[in-house]
Amino acid sequence: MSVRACSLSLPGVLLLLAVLTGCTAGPVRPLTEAPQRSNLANDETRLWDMAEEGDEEIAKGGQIYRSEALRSYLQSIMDRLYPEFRGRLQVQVIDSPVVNAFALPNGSIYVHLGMLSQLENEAQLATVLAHEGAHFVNRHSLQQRRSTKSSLAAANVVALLGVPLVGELAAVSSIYGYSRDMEREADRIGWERLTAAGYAGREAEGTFRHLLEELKAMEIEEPVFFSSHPKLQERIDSFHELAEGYRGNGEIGEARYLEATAEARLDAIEADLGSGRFASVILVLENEERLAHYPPSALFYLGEAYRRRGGEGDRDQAVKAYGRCLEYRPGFAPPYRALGLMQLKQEEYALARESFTRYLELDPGAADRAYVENYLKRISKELDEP
Amino acid sequence: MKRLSPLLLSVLLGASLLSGCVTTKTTRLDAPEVTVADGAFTAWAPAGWVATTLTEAVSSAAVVSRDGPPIHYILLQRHDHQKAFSGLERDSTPDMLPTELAETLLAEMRKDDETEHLEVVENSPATIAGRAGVLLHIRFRNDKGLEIQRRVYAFVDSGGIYTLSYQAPTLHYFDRDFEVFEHTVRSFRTGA
Repeated sequence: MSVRACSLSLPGVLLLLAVLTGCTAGPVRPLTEAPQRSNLANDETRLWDMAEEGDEEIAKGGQIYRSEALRSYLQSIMDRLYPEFRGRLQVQVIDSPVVNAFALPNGSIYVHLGMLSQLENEAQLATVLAHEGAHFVNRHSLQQRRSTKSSLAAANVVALLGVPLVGELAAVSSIYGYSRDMEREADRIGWERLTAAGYAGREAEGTFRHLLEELKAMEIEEPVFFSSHPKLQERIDSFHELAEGYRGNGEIGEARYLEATAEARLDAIEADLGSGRFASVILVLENEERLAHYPPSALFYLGEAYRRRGGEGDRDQAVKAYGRCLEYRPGFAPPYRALGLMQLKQEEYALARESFTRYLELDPGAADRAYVENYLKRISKELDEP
Repeated sequence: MKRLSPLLLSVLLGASLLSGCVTTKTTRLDAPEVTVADGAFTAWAPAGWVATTLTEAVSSAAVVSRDGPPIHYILLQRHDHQKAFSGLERDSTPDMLPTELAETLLAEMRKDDETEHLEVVENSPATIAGRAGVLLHIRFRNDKGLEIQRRVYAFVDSGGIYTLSYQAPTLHYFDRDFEVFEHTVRSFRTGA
């Protein structure tokens, strides 16, 4: 499951050569319990070694989102889905606004912050975790590694990225997705795990629908590594069919999800804004139902997405969002600064001065005070004041 | 040529992907000055350092370094407003306010895998070549865990967006050539 790959970079061309030449033939059976490392075949041991180096790189690169409470929450869902793999399937959250999740060959599962802002409840999050866990349990990385096709895929990744071990690890993990059949298998097994754990199976469809909406909003073509996979729409249809035949109600876990992820979802929105992913912010916050899951300050972020994008009609939308935000929180400073910037650009100097002055009154220690004071000087000059 | 990221910079300097429409020239500076072929800008730079200039229809750039760009560099760039920020949902415009310019430059950096987890050390208004602009100072860790600092001055005018960047590892290099970069910024003049 991935919209964009996370960046991994691992040293050692030698390791790549070892992996590429060290194939072991034989059928790959799904795991029934967490395996002992000493019982793994040589090629699988090497995959785990690579994955562990990947784990270290991610941690060393400061990519982990620092919230033990959130990590524990995700881990508790994973343990509920795969109780017999407790301790082996380890979940971490990546501090990135990209909507993504992936599994490494050793059972490390990574969910990007951006995924959390797109989902609505625990059952949808469980769908993601169940899918990624299925890649590990069914040893898809080993299957991929042992197939001729995977060697070619790895070579393609290597050629495209020009960074050898990024490609190798990516090609045998779910960073770029597995083959079409393996993704289908992970969907099916994930669904079985989801419902067996007592979650509402019908929510699985919603998970992939959100992924599709994100792709459309960000105008992302299905990435090259998705080209052999089931199309998202096809997956939505298949989950829809599964849900039709499913009689159980199951748990949705909306309130628990919203509470456990509240801070992270807001951080994801802020990160989206910070990296210019305005369409993604608008996609989530323009939906009144989803907006209700955020504090009123989220309306400021919605306004910011429109203001910073600056497209046709965006100015009006931004003013509307800031206005709504100030209705809920009249003492919240940031919308005043944003309104001041827009008014200054429109040469509405008196209004701009009012907004900037209010901003500095409400937040005298604002980090961007020097910018605002410059604007106030410029306004005085424009108004011909001494 | 899009605005150069450090990654693209190293690729370009490798010269393997240069297309025919880009003019590039690498020289050791005999005199303390660097000028791009289209005359878009000129600036002081230490004699003896190596400068690579790149010019094409919509942009021009000069990379100056003593020890080589993979270690440290000063990068001076001008780019037409259109498509200056490829990959972002907005472009630069001549009437952009400094705050907007800073937001956009930071968004561009956060979109780059190398600087996705950057820390802002300073974000303040600045005057460059007599124009109101911004100063952004960031630090981040590269994929080997080494702390890198980047200082960027930028402004917009009708001629495009101008960025003056200095990047070096904190260890040994950043402080060593900090004043060289500041001198380059103070001497920067546009061709217009």
